Amino acid sequence: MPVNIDDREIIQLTRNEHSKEEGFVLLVKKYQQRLYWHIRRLVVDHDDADDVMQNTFIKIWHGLAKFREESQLYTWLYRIATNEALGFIKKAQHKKSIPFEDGGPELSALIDNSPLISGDEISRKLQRAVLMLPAKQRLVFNMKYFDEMKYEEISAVLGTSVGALKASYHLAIKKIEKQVLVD
Amino acid sequence: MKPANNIQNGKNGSDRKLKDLLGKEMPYQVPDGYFEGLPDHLLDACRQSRQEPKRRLYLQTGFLRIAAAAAVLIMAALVITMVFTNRPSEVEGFVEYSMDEIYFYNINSLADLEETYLLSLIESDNLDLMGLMVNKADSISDEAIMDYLLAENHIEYYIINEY
Repeated sequence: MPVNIDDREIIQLTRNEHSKEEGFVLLVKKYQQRLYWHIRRLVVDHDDADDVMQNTFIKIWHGLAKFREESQLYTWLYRIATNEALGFIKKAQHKKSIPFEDGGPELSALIDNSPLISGDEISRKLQRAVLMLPAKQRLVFNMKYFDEMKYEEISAVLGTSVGALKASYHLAIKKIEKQVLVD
Repeated sequence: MKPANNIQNGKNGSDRKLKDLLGKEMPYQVPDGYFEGLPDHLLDACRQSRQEPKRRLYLQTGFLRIAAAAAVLIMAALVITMVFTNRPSEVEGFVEYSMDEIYFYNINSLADLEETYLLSLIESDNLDLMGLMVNKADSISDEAIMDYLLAENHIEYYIINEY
């Protein structure tokens, strides 16, 4: 269950050597589901998502001491999770000699081949269409459509202007509509 | 009244249409109890992990190391070549010629001059060389010429080379 505790309180706990682990566990409990689903939508397979989650939180563990409170905690967490997930996909595709931007069909095929994926045909169809999008549009679509983040928040995570994000989202919607209607 | 720009306002009509059509359900599942055990599992992983030391960029790839070694070898080869070779030096466009090269250059240059041009020079008012030579020859005695030639070994030279 997600915990309802203020981010500043969590950060204060992690800054103290004696309460660092307690603060970290609270942080994981608060954000694990949001970060897991963000990662899972990008890498598709559960075991891969689990690996990326572990790498993400190890980075967070070591980076907490340096975290500046100028940015919001969840923005920082999302950025680390996004980088780890994209890095994982790049590495996996590189091993198979697939260029990063051409990995859509490979990822899309996982929807039908990976364990722990069920759901109705409509939700599968949506995920297949999302996975065929270019990486940036896929990220923007997921964060806006599923996580319902504001453009300003997405901008803080991805370092892209709000205008460009709106254009990306609009394009993504159009492509998905087209893809779903064709199917 | 202008229609609202949905993209600019962030209220994408297609977004709502898509949600109505496809919903927000995801087909993904997690193993039972996955999230309950995750905090402890991640804490264990973090305890066991060691922070990776940041490596310098130039040491991150084998390629950069090989390129650096190749650059050092090329520089060393250039220095050795410049120090130990005996090539004639060319300093700021000045070409150093040997005495033989200069001699043959002069002979060939004179040979290139036309005879009529040389005669015109001799016959001109300012360069009466023929007259000068005749006058000079008249004023020098035979004895003086012989003394000069003997003193400078010119006769020996003449005999050896011509006969």
